Amino acid sequence: MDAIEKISQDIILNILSRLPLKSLMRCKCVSKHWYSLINDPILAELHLQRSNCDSINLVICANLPSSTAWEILIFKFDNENQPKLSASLKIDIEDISSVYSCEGLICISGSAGIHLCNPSTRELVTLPRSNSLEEPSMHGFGYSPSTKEYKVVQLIHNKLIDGCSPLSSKFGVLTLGTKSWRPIDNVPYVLHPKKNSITLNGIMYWLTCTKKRGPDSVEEIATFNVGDERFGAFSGPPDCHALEGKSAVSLGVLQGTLCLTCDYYNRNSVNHKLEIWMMKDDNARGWVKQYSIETCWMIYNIFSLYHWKGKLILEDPPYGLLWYDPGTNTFETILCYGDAFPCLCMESLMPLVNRQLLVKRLTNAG
Amino acid sequence: MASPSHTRTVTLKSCDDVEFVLDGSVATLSQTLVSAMAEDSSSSDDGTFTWCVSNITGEVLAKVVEFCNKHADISSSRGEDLKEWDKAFISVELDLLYDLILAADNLNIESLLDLTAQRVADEIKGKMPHEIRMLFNIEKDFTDEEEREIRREHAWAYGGESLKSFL
Repeated sequence: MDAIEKISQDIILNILSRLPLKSLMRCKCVSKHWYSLINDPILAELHLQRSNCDSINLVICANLPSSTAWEILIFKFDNENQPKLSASLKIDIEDISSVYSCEGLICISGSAGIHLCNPSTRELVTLPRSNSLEEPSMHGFGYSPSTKEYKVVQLIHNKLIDGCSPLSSKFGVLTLGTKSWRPIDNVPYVLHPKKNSITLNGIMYWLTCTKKRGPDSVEEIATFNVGDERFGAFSGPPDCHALEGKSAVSLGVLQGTLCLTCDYYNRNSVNHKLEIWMMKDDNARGWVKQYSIETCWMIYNIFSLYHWKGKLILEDPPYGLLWYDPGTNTFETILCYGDAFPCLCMESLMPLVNRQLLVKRLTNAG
Repeated sequence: MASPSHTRTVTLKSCDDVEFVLDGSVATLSQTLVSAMAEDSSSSDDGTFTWCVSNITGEVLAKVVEFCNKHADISSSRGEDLKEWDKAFISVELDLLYDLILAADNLNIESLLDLTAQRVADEIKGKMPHEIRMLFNIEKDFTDEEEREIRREHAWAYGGESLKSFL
C-alpha cells in the first residue's frame, strides 16, 4: 500500500469527479481532507464537465392532488428512457410561479421569494429580497462559465401602457454568494413579460415585444451575457412567420443549442403545426428548421423542450410531459400531472454552503 | 535541433534498471516524453533517446509499455475491441492499479490515467466510508460524533430510503 499514499491531490480529484452523487456524499465521511475536497467548487466544476446525458435528471416541482404541499420530485431515466422516481423532497414553499434550471441548480420563485436548490445534494437557500417596491414580473437564472458565477435576474417592467406592453424594463441582478441585488437600469430591449428565459453557455435569451403589435407579438431575441452583463439582440428565423404574431412562440434547448418553437394554431381546427427551429451556428446566427410536426395534441404552449436520445420531450401544460419520436412521428405520454413545473437538471455537486446564506437540507416527503 | 519524435526510438529505463525500447510514435502517447524529446538536442543523429523513470519498477513499466503499444496501433485501436482489451488490461490487483496510476501521472499518459482513475472510482462506488478508508489506507480523523453528524445530514446517501407511491 505504498503507492496509494503518493497519489497526488489532482488524481484524487480526478477519481472523485467520476463518482455518482450518492457515493460522493458517502465519501464526505472518509476524512476531513476528503470532506473539504468534496465541498470545494473545484470538484463540482470537474464533476459537471465529466457528466453526460446519463446524469441528467427530470426534476418536477409539483403540488400533487395527493399532497398538501409542494414537493420536488426527482426522476432518473432508466435504460428504456422511462423516468423512474428516485426521490421526492419536501419544500416548505407556499406557491411557485416559475422554475429555472442551470448547471445543476434550480431557481424556484414564488410569492415567498426566490430559492436556489441543488436537488442532487438536497441543499436549499433562500435569496435575500430586493428592495424594489415594484413586483418583479419575471426571472432568469444563469451560470457564467467564464466568471464561474451563478446569477439570478429579476425583470421589473416600468409601467404597463393601456394594459399592453411595457415601454421599458429594468433588471435586478443577484450574484450567488453576494448579499444584495444590483440594479441595471434601462435594459435596451422590451422583454416579453409572459415568456420564459433560457440560459445556455453563459448567455440568457429572452423574447422581446413592442407596444405596436400587442403583447402577443414577439419581435426578436435579446441576449444577456451572464458574465459581463452586456446586452445584445438578433432576429428570429427569416422564413418563420411566428414572430409576426400568428403563432405561439417559445424558446427551448435542443441538443445543447438554442431553439425556437412555433405553434401555428387554427382556432377552427383541432390541428396544430409545430415548427422547431434550431440555431446552428452561434456566430452567424443561422437558423435551420429542424422539425415540422403535425399534431392534434393541444401543445399550444410549449415553454420547455429538450432532446433526449433522439426523442424530444414536449411539455403540454397543464396535462404533463410527452415524448415525441421524430422517426415514427408518434407521441407518448411520459407523465401526467396537475400543477407542476418540470425541468431537466444535471446531477451536480455544486455546493450552496459558503455562499453567505443559510443552507437548509431538504428531507423526504411523506 | 531534434528530429521529429516519430522517426526516433525511445528507451525507457525503470528504477530497477529494466529497459524497454519504444517506437517514437508510441512514445508520443506520453506528454512527458514528448516534452523531454522536444527539449533534447543531444541525440538527434543516431535517433535514440533514453529516459529514466525514477520510482517506476520494471513490472509496472512493462504494463505501461503494453498499454502504449496497443493504443498507438491504429489498426487495432478502435471501438468495442479496444474497450474490451482495456477492460481485461485493467483487471489487476489494487497495488498494481495504484502503481499504474502513478506511472500514468508521472509519464502524463492521458488515456491510461482515464482508465486507471475510472477503475478506482468503480471500486469506490457502492462502498461505505470505512471500506473506502481501507481502500485508500486513510486514517479516520473524524470523531464518532462528527461522523454521525455528517451521516445524518446525508442520510439519503446511505440507502434504505422509502418512497411513497407516485401517481
